[in-house]
Amino acid sequence: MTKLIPIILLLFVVTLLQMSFLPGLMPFGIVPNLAFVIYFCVIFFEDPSRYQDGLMVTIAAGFFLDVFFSPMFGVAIGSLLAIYALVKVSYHFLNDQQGPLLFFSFVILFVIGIVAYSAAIEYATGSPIIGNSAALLVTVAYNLLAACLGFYGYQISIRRSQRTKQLKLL
Amino acid sequence: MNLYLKKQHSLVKNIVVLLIVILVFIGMLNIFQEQVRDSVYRISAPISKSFLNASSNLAGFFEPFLHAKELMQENQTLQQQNQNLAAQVALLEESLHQNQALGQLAQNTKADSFTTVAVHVIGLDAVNGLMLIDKGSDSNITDSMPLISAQKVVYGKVVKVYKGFSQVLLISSKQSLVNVKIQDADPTKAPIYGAIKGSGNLGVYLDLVSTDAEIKPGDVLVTSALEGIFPKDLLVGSITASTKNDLQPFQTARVQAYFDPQNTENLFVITNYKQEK
Repeated sequence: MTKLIPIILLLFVVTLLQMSFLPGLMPFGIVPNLAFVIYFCVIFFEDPSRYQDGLMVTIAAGFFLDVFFSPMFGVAIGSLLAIYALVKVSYHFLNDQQGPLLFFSFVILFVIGIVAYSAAIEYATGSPIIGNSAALLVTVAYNLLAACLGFYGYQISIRRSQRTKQLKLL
Repeated sequence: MNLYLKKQHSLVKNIVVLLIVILVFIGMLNIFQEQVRDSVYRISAPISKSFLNASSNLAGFFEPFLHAKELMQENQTLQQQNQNLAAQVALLEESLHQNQALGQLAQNTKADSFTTVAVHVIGLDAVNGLMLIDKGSDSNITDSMPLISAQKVVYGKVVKVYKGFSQVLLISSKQSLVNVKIQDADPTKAPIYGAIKGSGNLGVYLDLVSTDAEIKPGDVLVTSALEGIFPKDLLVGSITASTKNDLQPFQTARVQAYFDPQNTENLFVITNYKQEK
């Protein structure tokens, strides 16, 4: 719960970044969906017993994405909840897995998630997704790169926090 | 076994309750959509503006390094154009005196035609061709009002108006269609009409041009006002390459749009345009 408010604030700031700061710098204005990347890292690595935090992050990320990128509320919230459910179901099969297999699962689930989210948003805004598969490919590539950075960043922070806890025990 | 079933039952019950709460929450958000969006935009506008300023400053700093090759090509093209224009200026000077009286009249009627509201860009969704501006119904902005730059370059039209903000559908949106004509110096020629359609990611193309019409790279496209949303003769872009296929009823062309939403802050909404019927 203590981490929830900073994460929600971070989601707000990165949503503003991807709406105002990044489009001017990236080629063709296609920007990585940083809010989605943060949301995905949080739900992928969250402690299964504290699923309420993941749900709150899902709803907060969905709310910000709906406000700025969707014509009606519910499109982003709904798709992020569906992705949350998919990740949680997959978690049963990934339990206690480490290393390359965990990374591989992360990448697969992330790609499925970002494509599903993009399809939902583009369907809601009325733009056909198949008509611009090149843009979709660039979007997935950008997001995957950001997600991989998020994956390793999150793992490093988890290791650090575990080390701090061990020191406290000693 | 009983305990397991009880646990499962409780889990299903929790999920159903949670889904109902979320559905009610989404429903409430949609009912109060305008107020919610307006409040969030109001809070985020100052931060967005600072981010936009920082972005354009940074983009301006890196521009020469990132696009050195393109700049050289552009420089060469501009030099050629400059020479052509110098030759044209010499020719035009002769007819200048004749046209002065007519020009003054046209200028006066033009000056009277638009009332504009100056707006700032506070957000851009390039993929879907949407832009957020910092004025709304408070400034008498309504749906379908055109958005232009100081150079009379058309950007798009207002599609959603909130109290202090508006959403603009850019001409690069796949849902956008703007009727245009090719600007021709020769008034005896029949005008060539077409439609500018958005291809997403800030790209546009020219469509619905008759196969008999002769279009060539460099032709300048201006609005024709046929759809009744955009006034006549606003700049849209120039043709870079045309595609003619005998099997298709119309020819299309690639277009370099004049608008630059990634590096624009100040734009104008035309508030009083109404097409004469």
